[in-house]
Amino acid sequence: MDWLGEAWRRLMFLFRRGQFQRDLREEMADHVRMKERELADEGVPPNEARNTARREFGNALLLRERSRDAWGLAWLETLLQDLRYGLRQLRRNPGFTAVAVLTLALGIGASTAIFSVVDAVLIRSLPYRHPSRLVALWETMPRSPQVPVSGPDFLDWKQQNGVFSRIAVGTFAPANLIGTSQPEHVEGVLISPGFFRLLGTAPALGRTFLPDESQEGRTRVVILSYGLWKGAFGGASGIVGRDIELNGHKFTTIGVMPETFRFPQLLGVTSPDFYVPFPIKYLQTNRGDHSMWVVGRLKASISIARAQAEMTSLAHRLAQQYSDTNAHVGVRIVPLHEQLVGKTRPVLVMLLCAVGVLLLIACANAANLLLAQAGRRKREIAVRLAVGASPGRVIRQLVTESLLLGLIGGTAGILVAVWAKKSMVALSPAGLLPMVNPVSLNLFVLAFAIGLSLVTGLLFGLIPALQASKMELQEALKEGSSRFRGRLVGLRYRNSLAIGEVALALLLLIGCGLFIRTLTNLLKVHAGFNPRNVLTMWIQPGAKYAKNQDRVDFFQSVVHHVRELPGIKAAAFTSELPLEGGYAGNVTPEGQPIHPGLQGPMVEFSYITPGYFRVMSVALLGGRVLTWADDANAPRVAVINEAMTRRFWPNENPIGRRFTRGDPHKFYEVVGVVDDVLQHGLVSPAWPQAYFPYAQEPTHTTLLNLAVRTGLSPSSVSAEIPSEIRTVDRDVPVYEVETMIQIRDHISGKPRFETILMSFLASVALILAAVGIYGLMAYVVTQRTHEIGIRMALGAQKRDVLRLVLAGGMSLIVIGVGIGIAASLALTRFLSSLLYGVKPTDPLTFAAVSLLLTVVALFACWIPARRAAKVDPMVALRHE
Amino acid sequence: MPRTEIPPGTLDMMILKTLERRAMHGYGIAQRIKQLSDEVFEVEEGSLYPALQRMLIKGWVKAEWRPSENNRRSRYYWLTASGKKQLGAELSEFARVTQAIRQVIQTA
Repeated sequence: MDWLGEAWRRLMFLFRRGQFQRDLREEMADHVRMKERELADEGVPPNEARNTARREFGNALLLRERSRDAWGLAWLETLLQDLRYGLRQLRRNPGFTAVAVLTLALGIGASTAIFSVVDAVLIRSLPYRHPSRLVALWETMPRSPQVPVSGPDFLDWKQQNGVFSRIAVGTFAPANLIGTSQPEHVEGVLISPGFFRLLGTAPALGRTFLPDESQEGRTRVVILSYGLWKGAFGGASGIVGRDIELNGHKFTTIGVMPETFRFPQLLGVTSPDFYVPFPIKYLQTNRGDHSMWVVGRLKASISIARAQAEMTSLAHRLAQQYSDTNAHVGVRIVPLHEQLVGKTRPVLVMLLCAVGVLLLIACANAANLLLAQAGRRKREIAVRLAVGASPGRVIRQLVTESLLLGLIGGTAGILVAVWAKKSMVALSPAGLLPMVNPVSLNLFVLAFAIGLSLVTGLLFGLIPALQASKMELQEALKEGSSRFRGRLVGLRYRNSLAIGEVALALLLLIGCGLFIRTLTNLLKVHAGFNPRNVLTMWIQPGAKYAKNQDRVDFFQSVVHHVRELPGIKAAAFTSELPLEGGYAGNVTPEGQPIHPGLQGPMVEFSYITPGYFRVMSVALLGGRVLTWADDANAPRVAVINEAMTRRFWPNENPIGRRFTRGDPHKFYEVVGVVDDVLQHGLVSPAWPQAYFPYAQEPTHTTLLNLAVRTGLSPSSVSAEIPSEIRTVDRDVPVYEVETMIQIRDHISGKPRFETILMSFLASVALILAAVGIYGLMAYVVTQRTHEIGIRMALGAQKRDVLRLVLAGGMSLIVIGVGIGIAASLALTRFLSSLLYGVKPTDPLTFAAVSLLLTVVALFACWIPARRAAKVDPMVALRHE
Repeated sequence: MPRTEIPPGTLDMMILKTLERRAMHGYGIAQRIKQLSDEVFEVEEGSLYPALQRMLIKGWVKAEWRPSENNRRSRYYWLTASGKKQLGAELSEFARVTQAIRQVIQTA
């Protein structure tokens, strides 16, 4: 119990340390007085008595400190004292404090914001039960490492594997929702009934699916997302048990998922509006149709490698059993977390490095400011050292001050991070930041920010403190009178810091320049169509148009109505929009053997209505376009692109040639050739592509996009067209109304996002480096005012002074730029996977960016140089 | 007369011993140690105070301001129960050590 009492007494002291110190001082004074009186009584003269008493007592100040040390709280005392003193210092120099705090706030704030995203995406585990055991499963084919899974293959996996405790399949299911105030297009998924139990997620309301609810003949059931329940159904309390209509069928609502539930996006839909059990009979149909994603939960003792081995041998068995479809089909297992965030990792790592560099610049800047401060505080520190403060004590005080500055900067940085995080999440294109976890400034991230502030404070505070503690006392104390010989405090360090800032800023600027080049290259890509003045929207006529001819008539009537509107130049339907991906299948030219399964050459298929090429401004290179006369009764025809011509009929005229899509009795005649249109984003080259008249192939899809070319801005008709469609049928929902430019911007969203962020970071770096150079040159000029005065008195011209100062700055800038270029040459190659159409060592970017930085830095030197040139020699000579 | 520094570690013991009979103030403790040691030890009188603070923390002594001679107030220290125990422990340890030293010296 002794230590407990001791701890208690120590604690009491902490609260009553004032009292304690008064007691000690009083009792020591008392001691000396008694001694003095006793000596006086012995007949010693008063003066001598006082001196003897003091001498015999010893150094009272030192003894008091040793007494305080005994209480073990001296460090706290000193800390509080240093903090108070530090705060007073900061208040006394508001300009210095503001610049330093702002610098640090930008550095720490940007770092914290990026880190909050890294935390959400890469560090925190998935929000499911035992997330490390969740995996995604894909099939593989030669040259395609990740192919969606076919239904029958999944059923075989499920029955024959010994490594998964649960395994679930899902696919995208768009639908029209009827029974709410307005018909609405909703996007859902078909999933195995055990999907939610696999993830370990319970519904917010009601229940999840029962195992047999995917069997035929059961009541149709649906689980709603929280968003759909709140939105379309106004959060109605009696939702469970209520019937809703999807695609003309009645479904009973059995549950609602919680608001916090995050759907693991593997293919297509990011956050489904509803979930329906996957009907078993759909899974049993076509082994060659690869369109589903699969997730599995590994049994507790099974490693990924073991699961991969077992699934591979299972795939071999299936390959032998079903050689026509599965001969070359393998299996690939990917940890679910890796599957969801893997593609984002390079971008985040790049951004983390970039903010790291920015933070270093901020540190260098703060260190430079502190060194200038130290110059001004030279005498104060010299006095402290002279009266007996140890160098360690001085270092400690200065480091405490810089830690304090770091913490203030960090606190301001957290405010910057709140704002930066919000803007970053708002700016990030859909799908770039996988929403596996919400991005938030949680305790972990805040601890990171505080830690960063302290490390930063130590980093920029240590060199100035070491510098100050080593100063030449004599010289420093005399300084006032001997300015002439006074050395510039730590100029060597300050020069290196400024050079470092320039080099690091150049690194960021070059990275930024490369991203700007990438983005402009992407926007300059010849995409084969003209995205300007095109408005698009998806339309899916519901169950009412189940008959093929009814559906074709409906689409035709919509086109006729819309075309009559003022300002519309052309209108047509298509099953695929440019850039947004598409659906591919096998093609065999007439006269060649037909490949089984999906093993032949792949061609993109689009189903369009006449006028589509005019809407998209796709050039017709030969033959004719499609017309309404190409209907169900006419011979089957297709328009193909250049790439398909090159693939199948190189150096031949393809017009009049025929091909099949696998059915040896169905041939399509090529009637026209059009320019290549980029179908898979802006980076992948155009694939072979075939356009079929929708009227001849209406069974392939019921979902089409209405694309319209307008004379004026497409947004002017974005409300008019949907209302015109409602005059044809008011129950058909129109959704995702977007201009082609918007779609292109989404597609280039990732490089755009990277470019915006890098531009922001690089601009801040440029400003900080300029401030750093300016601060240094201003300091040098102040220190050399006397010298400049003498030069001018001896006949130097303003021009000469200007040149003198600029030459000093220029040498720093040139060295910094040199180091920066070398560092960039070594590092930018790590960006190559993120760049497009520009080499990581692009000479143009390097040259332009170096020039920009040099000009800005020279301007930062020019301001103090001009001030130096204006110096009045008489004033300068008297300058202290 | 030549003076000797107090052997390290024994200052605490001497202070505790001095306080064994009655409460004293710091000056009194210093005088008493000087007197009893026939002024052999050179004590920097102030060095009592850090030692006293250490003992306050350990709970071996307590302190209080009390009126003293000439109508003044002085800060008096006195032993606590655990201080008495500590004194006993230090004295027997000291006896053991000096006994050992004496044996070495006499037999050598």
